[in-house]
Formats: sequence, structure tokens, C-alpha cells
Amino acid sequence: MTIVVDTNVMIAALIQAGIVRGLVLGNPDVFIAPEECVLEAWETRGDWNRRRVPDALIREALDLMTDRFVAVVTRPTHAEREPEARTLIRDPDDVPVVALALAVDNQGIWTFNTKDFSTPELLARVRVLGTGEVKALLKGSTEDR
Amino acid sequence: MTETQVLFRVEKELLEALDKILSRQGFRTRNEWFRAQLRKALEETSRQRLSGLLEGLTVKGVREQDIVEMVREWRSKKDRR
Repeated sequence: MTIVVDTNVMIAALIQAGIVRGLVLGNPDVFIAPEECVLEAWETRGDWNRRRVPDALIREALDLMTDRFVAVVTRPTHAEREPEARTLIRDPDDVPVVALALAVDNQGIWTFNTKDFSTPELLARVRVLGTGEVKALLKGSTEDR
Repeated sequence: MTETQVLFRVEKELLEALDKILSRQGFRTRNEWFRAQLRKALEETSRQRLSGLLEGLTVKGVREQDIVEMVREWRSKKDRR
């Protein structure tokens, strides 16, 4: 099973204790993200790092997360699908996520921002998942094993 | 992939016990079993280390919608630059 995560989910896994973090850490071979999301998370650490954790530790957390729990996909994998993705999503920063979902087999995009990911054109091409749906999908997949 | 050969000393009875459960656990060889256990151990170590680091980054009371707003805000700041 493969689920594409967006920047919101990456940030939540980093700063929010609870279900999102639990799902990410509990399912090491499931989640993927475009490199742009990881870069965005790193570049904006000044905003979400409210507890002023040193950069070296943030770096280590991001490295561990992307090494074992959220596989980072480099741009060449999805670059070809970016023109199509641009027609499906308004926010240019979400284009890599949609392009990646178009480029690889997956069960959907996991985002909290289901409003921006709700155009009929996009929903005709990719499945958009909220946290509850991801939890249900993973529960089903565990029961299948 | 470069492979390295590893030699272990283990009690004969333990090895026999392992051989009995190998196929039941879905492994064809001791090698497969060992690799799987090694991966599992490394994964668990990473998970524990990451959990500790994330504990330090955790912001109490933050909701999914707060994160959506935060991302929206920094993207709009970036667009204005």
C-alpha cells in the first residue's frame, strides 16, 4: 500500500502527538512524499518549531522520518506529471503532491486540507483521504495480512 | 548490494528450535530470518530515537486545522515576497 502525504501531514507528524504521528511511525512502508514537501518543512521550521529545538535535532528527526517512515520521492519521478497537476489544483505548492499521486500507484493523497483538494477534476483522477480514512485503510490492510 | 558473511556461535538446541519455527513464520532460510530480525531491530531503534526527538518538538493543543492555517500563512508570505 502506498499513500502520498502532503506538507500538513509531515508537519503534524513532527509537532502533534497523537493519531497522525502514530499512523506514520506505525506503518514504515506505506507513506511517500515529494521532496518539495520535505524541503518546505525544513525551510519553515522557524514557524513550527515553537519549542526552539536546535536545528541539528530537527535535521536528525527529519532524516530519521524520511529514512524509515516517509519515503522521499525526488522530482524526476513526478516532474512529467506537473503540467497536468497544475490543471487540477490551484495552489502551486500543492502541485508536486498531486503530480506524485498521478505518477505512481497509490491509494490516495492524505491531507488535512480536503477543501483545496476537492475539485471534481482532481477527485476524478486521485483519491483524497482524511485522517479517518487513512486509519481505516491501514486497519483493513493489517487485517488482510 | 555488497554482502558480508557473519559467523555466530549458538547453542545447538536453540538452533534446532529456530529451524522448527522458521517455515511457520514464513522464512525459507536462517539467512532470511536473520535479515528480517536485523531490519526489525534497526527499525525499532530508529522509531525509539525518532519518538524521543518528536517528543521535544511536540506542541500541545495544536489541531489539524491550525496546521492547515500555518501552512497557508507561510505560503502567502512567500508569495508576497
